[in-house]
Amino acid sequence: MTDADPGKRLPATRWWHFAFPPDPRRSGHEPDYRFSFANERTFLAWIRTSLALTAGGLGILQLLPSFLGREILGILLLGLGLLAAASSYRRWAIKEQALRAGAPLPPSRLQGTTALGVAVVAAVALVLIIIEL
Amino acid sequence: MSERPPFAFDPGVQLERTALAWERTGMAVAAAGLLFVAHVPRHLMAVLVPLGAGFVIYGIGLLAWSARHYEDLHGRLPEGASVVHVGSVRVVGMATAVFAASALVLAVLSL
Repeated sequence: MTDADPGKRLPATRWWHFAFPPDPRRSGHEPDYRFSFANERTFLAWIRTSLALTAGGLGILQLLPSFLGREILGILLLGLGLLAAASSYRRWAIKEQALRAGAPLPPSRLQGTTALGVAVVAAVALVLIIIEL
Repeated sequence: MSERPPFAFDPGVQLERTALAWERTGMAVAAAGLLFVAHVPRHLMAVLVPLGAGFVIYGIGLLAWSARHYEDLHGRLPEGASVVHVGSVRVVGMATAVFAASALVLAVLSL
């Protein structure tokens, strides 16, 4: 662990740093360990959310009786699961960088998107299942 | 592995809560892998069953690692060392993305 360049966020020097930021420990000061643990637990909660979305998508496709639009709803959940997993490291690293720099934490837009997406899928699935009855 | 102190360093039990979050994630990974293996279409079994089985084994490994990491941090935390384990975060993030992408491809191929 180094405390080089204290107080500064790491610049994105490679094209892949947008999706895959460098090790956040390379900048800033060591934050209060409680905040790092909280950030780690939030990352893990996103991972479990992704797994739940993926399991839900597979469940809709494989376990529910066939109804009109079932495939679209399942694939929508699987897409949300992929989005949550693919962006999880980025969100964790950016928040850890902000903690180390003493900067405000960036808000997560995916939170609302996930909630809205799952709510829409649940409502549409309910309507479609009732229509098919 | 650092020597375990005789008392809990952290009065907010942050370490224990975080260790439990890692364990729940390991359980969820193994369960998702089992679900994946159980519902692979017959014509894609040769490719997707090893992938799902690998995910189950990775979930078991994550459970074992989380127990070891918890013990390790017991010693390192009072020394003021960084509690962040970047490698694990990267591996778990990427493995979950690969799993989610595989499920999406499986769904599209099954249409």
